[in-house]
Amino acid sequence: MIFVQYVINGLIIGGAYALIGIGLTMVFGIMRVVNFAHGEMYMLGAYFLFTFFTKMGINFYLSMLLAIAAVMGIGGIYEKAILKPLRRRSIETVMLSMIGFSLFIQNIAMLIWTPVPESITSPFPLTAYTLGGLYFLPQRIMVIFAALFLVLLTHLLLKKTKIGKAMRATFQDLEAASLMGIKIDRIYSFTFVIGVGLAASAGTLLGPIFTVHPYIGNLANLKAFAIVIIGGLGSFTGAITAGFLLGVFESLGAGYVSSGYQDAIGFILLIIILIYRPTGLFGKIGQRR
Amino acid sequence: MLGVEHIEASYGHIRALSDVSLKVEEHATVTLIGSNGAGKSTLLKVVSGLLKPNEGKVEFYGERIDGLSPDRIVARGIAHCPEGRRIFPELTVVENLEMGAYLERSKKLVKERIEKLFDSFPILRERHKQLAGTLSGGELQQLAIARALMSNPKMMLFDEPSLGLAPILVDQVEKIILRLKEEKITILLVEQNANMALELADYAYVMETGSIILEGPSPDLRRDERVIKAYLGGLEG
Amino acid sequence: MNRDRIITLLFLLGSLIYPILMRDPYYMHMAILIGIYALLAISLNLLLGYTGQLSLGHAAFFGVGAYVSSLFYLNLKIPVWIGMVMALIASGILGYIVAKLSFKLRGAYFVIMTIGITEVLKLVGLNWVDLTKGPMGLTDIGAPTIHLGGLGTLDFGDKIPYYYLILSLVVLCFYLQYRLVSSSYGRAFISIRENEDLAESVGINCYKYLVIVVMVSASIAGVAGSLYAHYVSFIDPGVFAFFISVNVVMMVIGGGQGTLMGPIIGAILFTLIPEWLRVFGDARMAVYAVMVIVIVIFMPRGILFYVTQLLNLRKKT
Repeated sequence: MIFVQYVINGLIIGGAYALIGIGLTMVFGIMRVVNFAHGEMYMLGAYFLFTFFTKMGINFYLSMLLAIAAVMGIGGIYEKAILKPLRRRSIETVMLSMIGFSLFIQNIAMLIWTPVPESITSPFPLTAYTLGGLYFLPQRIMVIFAALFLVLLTHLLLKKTKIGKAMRATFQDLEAASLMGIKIDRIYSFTFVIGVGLAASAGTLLGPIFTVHPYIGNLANLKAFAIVIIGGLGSFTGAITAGFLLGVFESLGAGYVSSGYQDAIGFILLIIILIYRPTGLFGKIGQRR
Repeated sequence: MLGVEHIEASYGHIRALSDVSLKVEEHATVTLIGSNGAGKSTLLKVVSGLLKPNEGKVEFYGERIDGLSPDRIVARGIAHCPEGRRIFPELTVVENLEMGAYLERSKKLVKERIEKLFDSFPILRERHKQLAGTLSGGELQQLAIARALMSNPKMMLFDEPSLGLAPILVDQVEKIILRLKEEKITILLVEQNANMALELADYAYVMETGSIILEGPSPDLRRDERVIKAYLGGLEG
Repeated sequence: MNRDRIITLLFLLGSLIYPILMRDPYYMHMAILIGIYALLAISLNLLLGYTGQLSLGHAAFFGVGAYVSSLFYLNLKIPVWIGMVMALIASGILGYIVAKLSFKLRGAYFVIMTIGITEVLKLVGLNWVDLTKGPMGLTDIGAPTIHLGGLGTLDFGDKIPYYYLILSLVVLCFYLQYRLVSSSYGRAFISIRENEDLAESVGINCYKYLVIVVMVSASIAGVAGSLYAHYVSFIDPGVFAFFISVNVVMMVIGGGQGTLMGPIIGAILFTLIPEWLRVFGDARMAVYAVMVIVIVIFMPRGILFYVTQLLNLRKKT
């Protein structure tokens, strides 16, 4: 029974991981570079929720939306101000400027919120529902439903809307997409903003479960990288699957092995994947560089 | 209608075009022939805005379009059907067509255009829900042309539409272009298959290593010694 | 003798007499840190500068070197010198593993692997308390000594002998770097950086060369870590800090990647800059981050390049 409980807990956290993963996949899809500031967007999502909800007392759900919107705004400005002028520069330059940006955000966060870890108060009752010997905290039920809802929303955006189709077209062939009349610059910005918004949403979901401090982005980054590589770089299905998988393995690892190494599990999975299936679970063969 | 004047363009440090000028009159079909690497595709890229020329100008209906981004040029009515078809393999046939009409805001109009094109390309109707990556070579070429037509262009740029196709499919492409010609769409056709190109076109330019070396009405060029020798296999004429 | 050689020799001369001119312990301390960072920067320059592979995990090799040689010293009481060799070997092996895993696919994979391995090692450092004492860290790490027979013992616990020890190793690595890049290996490295497909097509086994260069680079970084541990005599999981990796990258890029002197200049600048930035108080690292972005975007060829350009311009006018 405890095993099932671990799996369920893992799936709940995994839902948020899936959001981080698809966010990163989106940005990778268009820029062909993993966003090294992705974890910081997650961190900002959590901190903004802390400020809006715990500090200012705004309604919880509204605070979540505001937090996500604020991060999307920051992401948008960053994309326009720094990434756009670097479009024709080497991948190395783009990566390093992203790392500089992530350091910047981390340290700004430290100035604003101090390095002392904060916890976001939970608006939900702390008594768990029990069902067949399993425990379900209301907070966590909300997390999994919100995560699934956002995954679904992203899926619909990509599959059903005009801009979503244009995004996919651009991922597949940027030059051909521009010949269709698609404004590539606009797709870049839009994709980036949605991508960081997804990271921020994961931050608002997991923030109340864990504590929040300026360095949580580092581990979030690492997990995000592990997720997209395990799933196969560029694959949305892969990122979602790998997100849930990572949540479950972490939960089992913490339960049966040691909670100290819980955060290393993503990386261990990543290494196993690189040994046995370097292109990831859903990756296409021959994706070099 | 389309005027290209004294264009010079390069990829990085490698010069691809030097002092290229050509003209395409409204409703005309003009071809640009030449061997592989002569710069034909580069010229089309300059016209459609994928490549910015270093010098010279491109005019469309008397207005300069060089330096505009590709989406603006599409909006003015030039559709570029690129070399290698460049279909979006993981979009369905219908989605590919929708992308072709990306600038058209009316969904109804887009639907109508798709229906109309399905009448001209019945095989695409059969395959409409399939991912484009699963189509055969001939079907892909039809999709590429149909996708370009979705923007309702005044002018079409074709880049090697016959490349890599079996002879029977080349005939099919030829028929499609003839049909477009009858519909009074202005065409600039780049081809290595000089035979087909000269048959279709009213006027032709010959390009070699980045420059135009010869031009004239197609029938004249088909009798030209140099053209026969270099591009028509030396058997006809 | 050409200009570069003269400058290099002047530099060496300056370094040799530096302890005579600067007796202040703080200046000696900074000079020793610069030396240790110069080793790290040279090691990364081989990788980033000459083969174009970005490592954001040099802190991993550095930290492993520091821990391995400290643990050998503390637990087995073997001479420090042997511990340093162990550090070299351990980091080299780690480099081999990372390279083997990530170069099957290129680009972002290597960067991610290097970042990941650093974070994981930090977790190991924090959690394997029996071995590493966790966040408490290891203390009382001794400095190396040399018995000079009848003349007594040379103790490197003092700053001045340690300075010369490090200086000699920097000179050695500088020479190694010079020999390596002017050998057929060096030409292979550069051709990989310039155009991997082309290099492969003329028969260069890129995979093999990349694995070798990562191993060499990691080994040098491990020695630097070991030297650091025996100098400060205390280490904790902070040796795996991401900042160290980033700062070393900035040394190589800021100094001039793919040049011989670049990493030395970079090490001087980027050991001192974080110190200077203390005037900004808590905003220090935010200012540093802005600097990273500015340098990466506007000075990708390194300070050396822009300074020489400026001098040349002045000469012409």
